[in-house]
Amino acid sequence: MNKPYKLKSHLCRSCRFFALDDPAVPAELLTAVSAAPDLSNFAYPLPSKKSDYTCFAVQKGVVWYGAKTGLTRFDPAAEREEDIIMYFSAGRDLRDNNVKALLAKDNGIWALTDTGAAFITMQPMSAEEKAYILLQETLDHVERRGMISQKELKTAYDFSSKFSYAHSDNDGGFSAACAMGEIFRYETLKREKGADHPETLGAKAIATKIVEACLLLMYIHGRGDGFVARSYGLSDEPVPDDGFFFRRNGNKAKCEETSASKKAGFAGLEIDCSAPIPERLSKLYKDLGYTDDDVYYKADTSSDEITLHYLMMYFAHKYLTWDDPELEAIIKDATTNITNHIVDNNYELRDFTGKATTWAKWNPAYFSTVDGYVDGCLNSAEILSYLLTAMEITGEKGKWKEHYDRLINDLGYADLVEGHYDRLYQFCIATDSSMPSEIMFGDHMLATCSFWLLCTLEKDEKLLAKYRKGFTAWRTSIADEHNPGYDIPYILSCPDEKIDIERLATWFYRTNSSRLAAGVSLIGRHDVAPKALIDGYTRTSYLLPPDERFISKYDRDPLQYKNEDSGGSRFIESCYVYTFAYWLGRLNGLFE
Amino acid sequence: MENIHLIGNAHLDPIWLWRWQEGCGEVLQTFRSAVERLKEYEGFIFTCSSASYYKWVEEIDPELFEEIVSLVKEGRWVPVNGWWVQPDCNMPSAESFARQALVSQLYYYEKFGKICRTGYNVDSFGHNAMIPQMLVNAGMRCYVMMRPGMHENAEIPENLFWWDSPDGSRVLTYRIHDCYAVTGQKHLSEEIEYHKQAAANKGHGMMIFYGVGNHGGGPTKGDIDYILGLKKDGYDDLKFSSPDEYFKEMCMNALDIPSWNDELQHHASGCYSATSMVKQLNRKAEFWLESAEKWNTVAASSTNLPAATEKFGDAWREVCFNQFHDIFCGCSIMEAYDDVRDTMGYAMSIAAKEENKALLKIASEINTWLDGVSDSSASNERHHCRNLKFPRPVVVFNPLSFEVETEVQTYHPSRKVTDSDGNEVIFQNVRSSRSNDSHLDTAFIAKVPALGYNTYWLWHEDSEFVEWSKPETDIKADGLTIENKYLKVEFNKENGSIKSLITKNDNHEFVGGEFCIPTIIDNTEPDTWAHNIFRFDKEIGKMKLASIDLIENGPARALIRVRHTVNGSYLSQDFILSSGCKYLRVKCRALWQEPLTILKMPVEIKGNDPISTYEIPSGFIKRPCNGEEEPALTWGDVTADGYGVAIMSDSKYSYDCPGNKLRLTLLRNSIFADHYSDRRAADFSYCDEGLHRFEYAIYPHAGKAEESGVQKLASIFNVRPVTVPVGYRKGTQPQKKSFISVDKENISLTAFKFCEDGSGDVIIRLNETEGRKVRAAIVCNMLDAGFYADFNGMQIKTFRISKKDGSAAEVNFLEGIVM
Repeated sequence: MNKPYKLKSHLCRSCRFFALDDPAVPAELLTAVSAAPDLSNFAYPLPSKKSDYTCFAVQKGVVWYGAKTGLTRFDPAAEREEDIIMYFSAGRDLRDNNVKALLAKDNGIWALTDTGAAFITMQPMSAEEKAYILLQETLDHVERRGMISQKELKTAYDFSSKFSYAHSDNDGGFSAACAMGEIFRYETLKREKGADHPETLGAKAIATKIVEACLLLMYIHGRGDGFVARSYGLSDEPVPDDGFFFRRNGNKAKCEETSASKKAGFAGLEIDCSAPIPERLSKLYKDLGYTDDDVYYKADTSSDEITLHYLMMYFAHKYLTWDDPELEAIIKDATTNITNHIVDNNYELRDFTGKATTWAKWNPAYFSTVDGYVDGCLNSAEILSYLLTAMEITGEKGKWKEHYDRLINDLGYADLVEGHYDRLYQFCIATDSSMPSEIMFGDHMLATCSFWLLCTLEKDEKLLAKYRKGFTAWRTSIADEHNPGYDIPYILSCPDEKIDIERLATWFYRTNSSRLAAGVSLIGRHDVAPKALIDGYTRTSYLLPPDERFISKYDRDPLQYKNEDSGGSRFIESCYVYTFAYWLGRLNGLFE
Repeated sequence: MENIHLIGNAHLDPIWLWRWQEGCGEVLQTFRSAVERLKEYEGFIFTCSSASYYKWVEEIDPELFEEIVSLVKEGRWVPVNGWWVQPDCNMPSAESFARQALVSQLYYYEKFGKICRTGYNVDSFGHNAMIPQMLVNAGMRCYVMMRPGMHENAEIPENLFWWDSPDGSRVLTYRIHDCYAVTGQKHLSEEIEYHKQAAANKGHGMMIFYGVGNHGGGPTKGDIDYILGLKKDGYDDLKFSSPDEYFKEMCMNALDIPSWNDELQHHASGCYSATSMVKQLNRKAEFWLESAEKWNTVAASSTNLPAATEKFGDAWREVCFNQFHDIFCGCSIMEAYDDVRDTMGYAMSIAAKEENKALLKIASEINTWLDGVSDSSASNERHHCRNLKFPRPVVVFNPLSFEVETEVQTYHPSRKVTDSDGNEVIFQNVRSSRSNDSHLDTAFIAKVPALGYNTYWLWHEDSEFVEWSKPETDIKADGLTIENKYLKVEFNKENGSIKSLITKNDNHEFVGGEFCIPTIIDNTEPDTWAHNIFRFDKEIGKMKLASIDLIENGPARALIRVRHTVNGSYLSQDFILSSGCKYLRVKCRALWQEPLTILKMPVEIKGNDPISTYEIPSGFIKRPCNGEEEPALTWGDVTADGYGVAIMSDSKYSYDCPGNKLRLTLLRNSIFADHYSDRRAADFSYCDEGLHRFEYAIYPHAGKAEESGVQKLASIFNVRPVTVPVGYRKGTQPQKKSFISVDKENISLTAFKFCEDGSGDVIIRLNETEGRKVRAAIVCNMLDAGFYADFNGMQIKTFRISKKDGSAAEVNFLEGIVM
């Protein structure tokens, strides 16, 4: 792109719900006599079947059509094609889909349904405003001691009912992604407003805290061997029945009872945890009155978190440490520890038994297994990116360079990086399965992180060409998502390639201003043609705008024919999905 | 390790050096023989393609067929290639490939309870770049091919590779080494040794295709005994297998193999032009059936006309059969083309009848009543066309998915023409094809909505109740120059070529050399296929100009007729420039009796670094301008320095482009089925001898070919609106109507038909044509359907619309009946 794309202020939907007996509901809505619209020659595809439409209301040239299956907004003058018809549905926009009456009032539309009333407004909002609204929601409701993944609500839609604790499988990884968004924001503001501007300092504080929380996971286990905990909790938080957890007690940590630990015979197992935790990091819980002995941590980390941590550490080191030598030292130390752990352990992350965790293996032996054969192409890129990152952050080469060269020259890792889809196709033919159903959509983020680092840090033209080719090969499925979080790193890594900037703009414009993961009514939409594949996996015929599809992290197929995918209206997701992409684009001058 | 997969098969040409009756007998004998071998040898597996062969056996020998059904269920008889035959893989349209799959895979599913998962065209003479998409849409993920061989194109990966088409489809492809019909101990042992070595070198298994072939036969007892003997002697790497098993086994292991994202060419470059008659019949049948089925679907959905799905199935089966590579490629014996003519005629007769019924049915609902007019049957006039007091209504139907504004023609001369809104339209009385009454017909410029109709009102020339209409026109003609608002064309009076072609908006001159001067090429050396010859460049000379005349100069069009001769042959070309038309139409009549010659029509443009672009099924391809003969569908193009000229044709499939000069191959007069014979016979029959009537068109444009709108214009050029004279009726429908809306012009509607399962659901097939990603909105109010779809460049998508509620589901060529 030669000049920044101007992201304009854009209408963003906002919905408030009311009980039918709530006095705020206009009486004329409750008593309205509805008439079905004549849509027999309507020129656009409609989300509901024409015979399902029961009522309509007109407001400033925009027509709202109510149906038994949701609400349709028709703006014939909409500037963008995808905004001409919009669909509002339960449970994100309506309490239920049977719209019986509509009332245009107070610059909004009231929709009466069986179980309540909804007041919907379309509010002009800039992309930056949306980023701040989403961040604030995350800080208010999702963040816990700098960790940011998601938060569950006791009562659907009721943010005040949120649990104080949270658990997510890739807690550290998602936090790292959120940290990067804030690092990009900080650097953007620093350039635009100066390092001492209050907004800049605010951004730095948030970014630093999340980075510290991520770094804490690299020490909290007390193993002192460069292992990275997946997550951690405190004494007043229940231990999830999901994997292996160790509770610290003095210099020992004991394996908690979970289904998995009992089954594996590890419950009660004690291991060492005597290695120190940097004071700066443990302050995250000690300042809240907890001690090291209040900590339990999750001990079955996968390559996913490791990859996100490396990218996070690269940017944290690059942008956050210029005036923070203490943080720089911790990042260098953590990077050194993890990298040594991996290279000293035959390219594996070793768990408390000394064996590799299930999904953190980067060696040829793993690549020759059935799972590892398909994973090999991504994992080879990952470990090469770890080594380059370690060299970049620490300024040292030594054995890491030796390993890097060995992986490339002796084991052919750089040649392996472009073969992912060949192997995946092969797997699909062997198993009679469909390509989309076999794609791990979370791998799109991991591939993006790895290749971005490789393309950024490698200076050798031949290797760089291979990495760019590898990144481009991943676009086979990544490109269909039109996700700026993937597309921007790609265009920064492969500047000769093209991305569809208008589709990216749509993504920013049409992302909700809340990450409450309430679902939508996708299944049964009249304007969506589902496509069932050979193994039953079903996708939509087109990529719906984010505000009309399920809310998730960067780990699901946005084309999947599914109503919701993240726990629904009882969960609040992290803002990183938006802030990571937005501030990255701003930082690199792609957007105004 | 058993890594040499022995594929017992029998290559069967249903027509080649014999007619279909002998091919049918050959199929029966081969199938019987294969069943016997399967009974005799426990581990033996037999592989066979082409659903049409199974259908023959089912009809003629049901007992044998039942045995085959059992063997298929046991996995010992393996049907492959879910297509009706092994077609030519360059010239059928994308819709034809869809029908190949539809009629075949549903047949296999009905009879065997499963469909083919492997495509298999071992003898086809080259493969267009979109074949992976055609296979994947038909439920197949793997492919077996052989031509071109390594000696013809060594760049294509040997043996096993991933093949990607531009839309994003991919198939695992096996390129057979040398022969699909290995037989006899010597040949078998050579192939086994070769493949053992190849397997060791490549690190993966190989397939050997053994069994007597071409005229059928299959694995002999001797072949099987020999293989069993080898296995007994310790050849542990041999196994009786099938392509399905081979591919699956390869995918179970580590398999790092190359990928290829281009077409697979060339093998028999003469086949793109040999025997013009079969090419013309194919083009006409494909488009006619597409259109007729669309109209049947519209009429059956909106009136009480019944669906004609089974009849269209019959017709498509004939077209699919005649796309068999030795038929469509024009390299079979002369008599075989009598059968082609008859069976294509049968198919087109179905198209004609069903289209006519549907159009009249739709037209009968249109309100064409005029106050004061009596019913035409009560008129004193001989027929209502001569009802001089009132204009006669003519309904113009457009089956394309975009609005069309083009010249149409209807019988009888007119004094005035108006459209459905009462506006005068440009018309002209032009010479008819008859020598009766006035000799004149009416040509007028019609504007018809997407998959819809518009009604025009024509006042007869003899009417005294209306003034002569003199609509404003952009047509001008003077001497040897004709022009409209877009183009100005000037002819060379010395040789009859075009000496100047200018687009008037930018005054760009396109002519850079030879331009529409018929050129004769020596075709003595090539056989019918042109084996091992890839360029037709031995020019004999140009045809001599006999006459050049301005024949028509009216509001609707201007026409210059150029007649060239050579020996006893002639070519008469009517260069027609219509009002508002962006291309120059050339209506040709040729009497050709020059043995072993090729007639080419060049357009040479100005500029540097030329790029040639050609339509292929469901898309286009760029090829080097190196003079090699190239296959294409309805258009080819040469562009240099941002300006190009496309040649569109209604029946031709072959071009070359040496440098800046694109040449359409009009005729190729080879000996029938001449396989490098020594040509001792004295009195040969030639496959392009005689009278030919065809059209081509010249379209100059700025920018890239694929973005110039050439695909849309080529569609208009090939699929002309149909004019239907109707009576005066009090109908319920408006005089102008569209039955579908597709909001992007680069999305083309190729099928609008009823689902084959009899559910009444409607199938809509769409194709992106400009090679760019796009989102399209499709609305069909008649079916209460409306949906969006995202397309990759050159992607085909098929949708099934529920009769019950108009909801849409995306399916593949198999219409959701089986995946």
